[in-house]
Amino acid sequence: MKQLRFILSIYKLFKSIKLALVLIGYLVATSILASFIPQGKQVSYYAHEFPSFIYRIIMELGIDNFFRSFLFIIPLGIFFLNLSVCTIDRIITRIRHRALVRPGPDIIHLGLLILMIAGVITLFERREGFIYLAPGDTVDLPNGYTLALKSFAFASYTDGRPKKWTSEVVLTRKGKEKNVHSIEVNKPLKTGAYNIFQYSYKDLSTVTLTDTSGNITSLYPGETLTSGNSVFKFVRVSTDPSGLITVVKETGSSESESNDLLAVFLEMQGKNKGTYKLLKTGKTIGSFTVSDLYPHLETGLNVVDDPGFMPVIIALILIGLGLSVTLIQKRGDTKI
Amino acid sequence: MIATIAFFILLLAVIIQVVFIFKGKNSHDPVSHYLVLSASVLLLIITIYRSITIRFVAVTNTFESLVFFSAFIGLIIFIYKFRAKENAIRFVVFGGTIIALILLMIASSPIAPRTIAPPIPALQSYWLVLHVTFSFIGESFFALSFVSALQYLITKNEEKKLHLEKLTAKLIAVGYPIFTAGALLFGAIWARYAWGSFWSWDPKETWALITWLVYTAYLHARFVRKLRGTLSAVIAVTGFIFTLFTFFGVNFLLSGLHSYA
Repeated sequence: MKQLRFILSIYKLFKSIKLALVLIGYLVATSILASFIPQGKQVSYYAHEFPSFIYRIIMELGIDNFFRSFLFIIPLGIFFLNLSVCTIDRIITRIRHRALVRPGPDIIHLGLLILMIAGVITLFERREGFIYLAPGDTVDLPNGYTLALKSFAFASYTDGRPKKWTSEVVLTRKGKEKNVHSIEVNKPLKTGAYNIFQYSYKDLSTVTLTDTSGNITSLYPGETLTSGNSVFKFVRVSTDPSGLITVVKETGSSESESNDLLAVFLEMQGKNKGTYKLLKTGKTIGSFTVSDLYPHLETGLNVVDDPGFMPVIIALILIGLGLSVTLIQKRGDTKI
Repeated sequence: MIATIAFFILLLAVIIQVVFIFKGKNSHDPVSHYLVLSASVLLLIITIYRSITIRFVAVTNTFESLVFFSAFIGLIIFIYKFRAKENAIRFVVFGGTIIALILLMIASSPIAPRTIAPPIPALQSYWLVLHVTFSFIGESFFALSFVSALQYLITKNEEKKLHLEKLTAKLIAVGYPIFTAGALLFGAIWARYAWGSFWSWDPKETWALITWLVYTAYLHARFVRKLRGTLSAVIAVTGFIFTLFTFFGVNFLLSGLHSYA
């Protein structure tokens, strides 16, 4: 009897909306605090940026990685139980009273529960790796897969902002070559085993310049060259006459060896402003002559294996469905 | 130019609203909401024009976002006034128009450059368009609920308080599902396509979640606990302050994946 009373009191506590509101209040307050403390930095960063007393609190309580700390995970776990009991209780009560007229919030709650489970799966089971590949490079992935980069292209707008990055890859398993796939930002490669995202890139191209005395200088993108009163910023090596596109293919391809390579310089007229200059090998810029051009791009790919993906999709569909039902039913409400 | 015309139309609407507020209870303002509607239409024309120019839906920088936000607040003001007619609360219409005007003033400031430019790769996604538009439509309802809750806290008239309390709840109840879909659902899907992860605890994401939790608390307190009164109005006001912080504060105080937004 005593045990039953105890179980009932626990059940009552967890179905309480008051508990939900207290937990929401806690999550709001602590999340605000955490948002002002940079997350996931090196220990030395916190030691340097905060007084020793606050630094110790941050480290002891795991606030440097707050959303993975017990301060966040435990209350979230209690919230999960709270929401589970509330949802079950609500559905049972409605079935008993045959009053299943407003299913929207129940569907949303169910979606949120699945979302939290998916979050836990992702937290423990997600595997990802960031890799940089130059055209022609290959990398072995777990489960017998090999990823090879065939080419990488970068296009920019005329104002210098990036327009597109495209990686052409081949994913093989145990020597069986598959088709060439194209990966762009917002257009990942989805295979049964992995999702591969265009995440970053490195431009390690170089321009070699010779001055009138025969001295040789090499520049990487972003580096500047001074000649008289003019300052020239080396932007990139382009493989296109427009100067806006660079395509680097694996060794032996025409683009990489082409005589049409252009060095793109920005003649500075203020900070990051100026006039673009496109130069072939042998042409001069100020008192320098372009003697060699070497295009070298590396793509940055994020290879992800996340078993939490499907549950998240199911959860998002349920939440979307619940929201739609709620909104449609709300349209008929005249009094609140 | 069009934005400037919209700004002056909104300014005129505000002046007319002030005149009618001072004229007293029995005077009825028949014009200002049509002016607000005209300004909204002009602002949406700006969005359409820029979208055609960049060949993408123009909600990818601060100026475009502010224009869209301001336009939708105006549209909701018009719908509210049009439906409620003489029963519309003047302060809510006036406060909403002021918010739309302030957003346009910010849009014309140096923090929101007007350059018409196509989006960078991370922003070239229709999930982003859904994310931004739904978020701002939801937040437009929150803007009016903020004004309504604020007047609830100021007024002493009990009858008016009852009306304002219901209006606040209704606006949040409509805005919340739209905001949830935009800020959290579509935002998460876009993040997955762009960065390979649904959620990264980026400051903007964290603050969108904080805002959502505040409105979640409001709705549960209001509809389940039947909480009415000062506390519920304070939560509604806080919700919109957090909404604004998510939009402006995070951009300028905290850096992250959304630093360009």
